[in-house]
Amino acid sequence: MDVTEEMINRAARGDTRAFEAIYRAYAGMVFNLAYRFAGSWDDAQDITQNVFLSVHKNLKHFEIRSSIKTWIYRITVNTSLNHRRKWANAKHQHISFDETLDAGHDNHRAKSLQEEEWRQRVDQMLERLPPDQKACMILRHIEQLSYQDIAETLKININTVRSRLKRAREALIKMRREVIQHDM
Amino acid sequence: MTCSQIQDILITDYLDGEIKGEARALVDEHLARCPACREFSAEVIRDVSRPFQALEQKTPPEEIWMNIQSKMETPALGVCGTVSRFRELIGQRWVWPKPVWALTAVCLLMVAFALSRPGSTPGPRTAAENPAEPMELMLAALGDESADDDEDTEFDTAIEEYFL
Repeated sequence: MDVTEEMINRAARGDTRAFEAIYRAYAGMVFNLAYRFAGSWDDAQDITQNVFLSVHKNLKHFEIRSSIKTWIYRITVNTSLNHRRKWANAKHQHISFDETLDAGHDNHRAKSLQEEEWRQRVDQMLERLPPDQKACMILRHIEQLSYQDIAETLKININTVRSRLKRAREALIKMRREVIQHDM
Repeated sequence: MTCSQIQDILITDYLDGEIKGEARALVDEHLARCPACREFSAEVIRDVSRPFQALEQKTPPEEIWMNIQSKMETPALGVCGTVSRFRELIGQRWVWPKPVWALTAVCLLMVAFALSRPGSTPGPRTAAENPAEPMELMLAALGDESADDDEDTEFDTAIEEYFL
């Protein structure tokens, strides 16, 4: 469902049904982004809830001429990073992605065991990336945003997007080469 | 362009479809005649792009919306909401700042101390002697002029010196 300007105005005035329509339009996007940032189903739920409560609270200040999608993306990234900083030393952050994937929420069946292992390693690698690189990688690969949209979401220069992606991907390739060498 | 420059483009704009037209044609032309860059391009697709293609989109559980709904602010107040809000505002006016409470407590303690001293000069009757007038004593100690109108009260102690 497309979110119209009228919907936004009604939601800003307290219309719960209009706000629910906005929620339904973007909940999937927010949840998946939060899940990739947090690496945990429960944390993704908390982050998603906080994002939409923030949207609800600040909708009256939102400028209609801006893109609400970009605005919600930005709130999601900031909320996810803040959530992560808050729990940076928490024990559950050290739970490996293997365990989170085994929680039963991931129904993906890889074409091969090797691809599945590599996908898990990519998740682990994302987990080790600095937050700024991780944000760019997730917005590009998960949300398929263009460099311009990523720059607007994160409020950074487009060349900064490019350089962060380059560094993150070089790290991924290096890690893959090390894994291959180790397996040999 | 050098292989290093081409590979920088391969790992960014070329992979993400951000490069088009003539610029893309130049890169394609280089790839056609450079095995090393072709191998690098294949490595980028295999190790960077493909793993992310396997990631499945999750569906948020419905309980998230239920929790949000329960926490959202209430809509515009009706009559009952307005009355309860008015009560709340009135109640706030009776919340004194802490220093006022502290000063009041100190004054009461001083009055109690002065009145409890044995052999003291005739002074105001204590609460024990005149249990009906502790309020007047407190008000006098606080400099409340209305207490002076009470014929039964005599205030002739040193306590007043603290406030004069």
